[in-house]
Amino acid sequence: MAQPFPYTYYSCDCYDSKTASIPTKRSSQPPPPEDEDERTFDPRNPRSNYSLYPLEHLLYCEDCQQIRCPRCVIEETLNWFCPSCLFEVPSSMIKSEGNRCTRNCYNCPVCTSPMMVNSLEPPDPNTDDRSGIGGPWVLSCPYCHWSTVDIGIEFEKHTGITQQLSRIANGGKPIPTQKERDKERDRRKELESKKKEREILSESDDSPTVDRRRVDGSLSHEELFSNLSAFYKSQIASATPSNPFSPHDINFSSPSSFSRIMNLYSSTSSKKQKQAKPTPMREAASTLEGLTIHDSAADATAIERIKKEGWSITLSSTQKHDQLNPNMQFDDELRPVATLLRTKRGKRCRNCRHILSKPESKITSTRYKIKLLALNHIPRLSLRALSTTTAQQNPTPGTSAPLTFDYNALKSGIPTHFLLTLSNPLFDPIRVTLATPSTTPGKIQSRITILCPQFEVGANTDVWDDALSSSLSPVKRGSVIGPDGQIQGGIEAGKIWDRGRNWTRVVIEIVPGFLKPVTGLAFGGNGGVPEEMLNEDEDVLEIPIFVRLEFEADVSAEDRGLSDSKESEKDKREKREEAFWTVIGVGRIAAI
Amino acid sequence: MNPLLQAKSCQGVPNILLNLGQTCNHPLLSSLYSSSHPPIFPAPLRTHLPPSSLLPTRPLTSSTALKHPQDSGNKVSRRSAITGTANITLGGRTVIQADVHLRGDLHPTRAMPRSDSSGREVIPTSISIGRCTVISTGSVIKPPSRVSRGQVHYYPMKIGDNVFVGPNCSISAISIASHVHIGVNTTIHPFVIIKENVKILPNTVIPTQMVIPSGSVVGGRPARVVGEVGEGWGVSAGGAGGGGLGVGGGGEKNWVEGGDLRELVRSIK
Ligand SMILES: [Zn+2]
Ligand SMILES: [Zn+2]
Ligand SMILES: [Zn+2]
Ligand SMILES: [Zn+2]
Repeated sequence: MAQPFPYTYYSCDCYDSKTASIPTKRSSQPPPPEDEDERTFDPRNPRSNYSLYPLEHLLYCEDCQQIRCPRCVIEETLNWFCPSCLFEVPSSMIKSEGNRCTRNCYNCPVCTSPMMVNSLEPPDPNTDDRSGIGGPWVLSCPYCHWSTVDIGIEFEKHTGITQQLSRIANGGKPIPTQKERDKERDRRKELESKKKEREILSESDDSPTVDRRRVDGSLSHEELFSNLSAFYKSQIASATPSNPFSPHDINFSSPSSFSRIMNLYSSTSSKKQKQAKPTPMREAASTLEGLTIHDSAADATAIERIKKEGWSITLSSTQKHDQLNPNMQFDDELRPVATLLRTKRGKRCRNCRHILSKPESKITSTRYKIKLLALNHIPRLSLRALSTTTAQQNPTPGTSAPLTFDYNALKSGIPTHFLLTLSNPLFDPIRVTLATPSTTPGKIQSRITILCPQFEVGANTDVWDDALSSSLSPVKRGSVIGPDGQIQGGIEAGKIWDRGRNWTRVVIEIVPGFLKPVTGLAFGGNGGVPEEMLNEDEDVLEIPIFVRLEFEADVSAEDRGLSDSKESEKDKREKREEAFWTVIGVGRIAAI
Repeated sequence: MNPLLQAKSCQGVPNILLNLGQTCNHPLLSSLYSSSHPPIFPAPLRTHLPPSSLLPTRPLTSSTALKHPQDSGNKVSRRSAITGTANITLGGRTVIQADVHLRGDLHPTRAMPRSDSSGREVIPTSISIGRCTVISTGSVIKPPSRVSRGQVHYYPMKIGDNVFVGPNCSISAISIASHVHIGVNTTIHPFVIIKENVKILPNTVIPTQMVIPSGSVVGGRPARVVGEVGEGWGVSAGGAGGGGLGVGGGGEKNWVEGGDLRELVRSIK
């Protein structure tokens, strides 16, 4: 999801198959250690797309002591609900009815907007009560004004739309129920077999059969499916008893057991037995059995129709995909789309299976029983342009608008200073080491310098401590800010810019690269080289920053129980280390 | 049964094209319109704002200064246009920025008890906005309406706590729950219901009566759910909960989308 500049994404290293592989596999092929240290994270690598997340989307496994992203968790469905009517659907119903709402919730097949049930008749102004409003009713889209009138469907009642819709075909014709369909199929089959007998008797005219085929060619999707499923059912039923190797047929006196036993002793009959093996089930051979034969005449009529009525009657691919019948071509075949259900899910660590998040199962509740957020375990990085920050720090009441920094127009070649703030959510102070490549990967090379890559960030202690201590530690800086908001000095390498209770701020100098190579330098020789085209978003300045933390934390109670209890108080603290890549979207380089 | 319909029938006004599809038996609407009418919201806006400062016809001052009523902490721009102030309630620490139009004059006219048990006259509420909610520059808040017997009927609208409405939005939802973030230039059509912890991307158009379940990210025209907010949505880092983290001084954004907006409200001058 696009975020406004400047943004920070955090990388989960599970995108790398090496680290995500199963431990046993890892031990057999240890990765070269120098490779891991020297590798820089490239935000432009297509694979990076799958590892970068905003901090609020990341969880943290306290057992693995690692970030967990949507890719390295296992989801467990707690319940199903309709996003439109917010009713919970029991899982037994999901199995029988499928994953769509069976109430009155429908989405527009044209624009996806939720549809409304409206009366076609204007209400009688003289009647007092609502029941006075009569049908017929229609499903209509409040956004694009498509309605079931467009496909010739009206409803008698305003409730039970799903049941009514399942009985009405486009154009208003009734759809036969499953029972009626089965009956009709049997009747036709009988007819056909009788006809065959007759044909054998007199091979003269086969015109009625041809006619029948034509009619069958326009069978609906559902009818074809029911025909096919009925055919397979009958095939399985007819195949099962004849199978001599059926595991259920263990009765000694059954004919198949006898034949099996007899085969053991007589070699002569073995060949015969092979022939007696059930023939593979045959495939559907007629429309009544669910066979669809490609009809070129249908294609021709479709083409004729498009010629006459234009492209507008055809469907877009997304509209087609939303429909249950994937073979739809024209807008008069559209059906309202029953709303897809949504789920409430819990998440577990893929490695150790510990629960990372578990919402309360009630649909109306937004609370969590368990929620282990990464933002409570790893520091938040945020970037701001230095000039803006200082301008807002000293707001002059007289001036009209504060100086705003345009992150969408970074100036090529001009060193710009940014403040990078690290805030620490942990209750222990952390030592931070930042690392970044000196130039950004990608076609446009911007130079990055972190002026103070090593520093400490205070613990996330009580807010009141901050209030008490903040007045005691005023920021001493030799910087002078000019009237234009430019810094005229005071930025020193190796020194932090500012610090507070649980945050520290350092300066990053960025020299945005040039969108086009400077033409003056490439003067001689290869003037014939075509100008390299920039891809989409290649002018976005993103800097990869590697963050490493070291801190001492209390040994968790679980681990302490395992260790020797005679150890001194000091040993109850353990050194911990954490490291991850982040990508900071600074802004967009302005075209000159 | 939908109380909306009950209200209709007791008054004897049938509706043209009254939707029955999604609102029928709707648990949300029933909770909205059930027992709690007249509303139990804090004192009406007029107690904090002299009406003279709210008339849209009043010549606009050049400064963008906002008013700071002492007791409620509401910050209402002198350059906002608020009509029907008696029908509007602000929850406290609510921010109404310049060029915002609140249409409190479009209040419900349907039958309801003229007075409560103590005999006082009941003022119909048309817009109620919760605590620490920010309505940004140029947005229009207009209660939803239906036409019935040639007459327009308005329905009260409720916006929850810690809701951020971006600049230049047009909102006619029936209910917006708490911790909702609405991006710039969004249009919300009548009778939309937005549940808690929802993020609406900029330039979205939400069609009439759409229900947006909690935890959704919504975008597009017409709107559709394009994702889910993360588990950490609205949680400001530090975990100390609500304003615990002093991300600190100068210009640093110390509030998060969907979180507690107290700090944002404080920073708006
Ligand atoms: Zn991961
Ligand atoms: Zn539903
Ligand atoms: Zn539509
Ligand atoms: Zn784990």
